[in-house]
Amino acid sequence: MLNIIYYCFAGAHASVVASAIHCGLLPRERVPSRQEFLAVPYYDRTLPELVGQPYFMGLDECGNKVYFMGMWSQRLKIITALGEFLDTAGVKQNQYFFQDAFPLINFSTKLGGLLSKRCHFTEMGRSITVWGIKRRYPCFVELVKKVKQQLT
Amino acid sequence: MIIIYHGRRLFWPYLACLLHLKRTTGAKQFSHERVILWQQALMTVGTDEAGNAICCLAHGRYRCLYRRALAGVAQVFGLKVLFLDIDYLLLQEVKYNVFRRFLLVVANYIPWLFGKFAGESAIHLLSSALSTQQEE
Repeated sequence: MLNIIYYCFAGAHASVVASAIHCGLLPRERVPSRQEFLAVPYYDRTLPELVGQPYFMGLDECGNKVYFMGMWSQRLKIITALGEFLDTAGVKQNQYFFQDAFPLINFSTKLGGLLSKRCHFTEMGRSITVWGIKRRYPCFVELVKKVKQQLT
Repeated sequence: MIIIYHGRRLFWPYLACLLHLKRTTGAKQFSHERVILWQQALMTVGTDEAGNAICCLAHGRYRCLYRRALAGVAQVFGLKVLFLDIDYLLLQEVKYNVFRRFLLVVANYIPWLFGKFAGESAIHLLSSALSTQQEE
C-alpha cells in the first residue's frame, strides 16, 4: 500500500481536485459541474493557518491512501526535507509518492483563491476558482493518469 | 525516534545537534563553508547512543509550516518525532540581556565570525539552554 500526496500552494484547490480525481470523487470523462466541485471535501475550505498539514482524501481503486497538502512557496524545500526525513526514518521510496499539482493552476484560480482566502469574498472567489479549474480540468485528469501510470 | 532541532537559521540547530551527539570538537570547527554547503532545510547529523536520529532544520520564517508538514507526514507513516525549538530555548536563556540577544543574531547571520571568536561562549550558552529544557 502506497501513500500518495498531492501538493500545491495553499492546499485548497489544485491538490484537492487532483486527489479527488485520483480517488474517483470527480469524474474523468467529463468536466464536473460547479456543485460537484463544491461537494468535494475541503474544496476551498482548508484553513490558511493549517497549511502544511496533510489531509486524507480517500483510497484509490488499488487501496492506496491519497492525501493532499499545501506548502506555500516552500514546495521544493519542503519536498526535499520530507524526502530526507522519510529516508532518515527508514521509509522506502516505494512507499510514498509526492506529486506537485500547482503548475496546473491558472490565473483565474489564483485570483479566486486570493479573493476567497485573503479578502474573504468567499462566494465570488469560490466561483472564480471553479471557473478556472473547469478550464484546466483535462490537464488535471491527464496528471492523475500519469501518476497512476507511474505507480503501476 | 527522530529528534529535530530547529531554528530560523542553521547555526544554532546544527550546534545543538553536535552537542547532543557529544561532538564538541566539531562544534568548535563550525565554519561558514559548512553552512553554505547545505542548501536543504533538513539535514540528518547523526544517531545518538539511544538510536535516535538527530536532525537539524533551518526553516526561516516558515516555522509552523515546516513543523506541520513534518509532523503530519510522521503521523501518516506512524513515525515518532520530537521537535525542539532552539530559538525559543535560547531566548528563554538570554531573556532581557540585550548584549546576549545581539550575539544570538550575530551568530545566526555571521556564523563563521561568531564561531571564530565566541565558539566557546556559544557552546556554553546552548548547553545551559538545553539543560534548562531537560529539567523542565
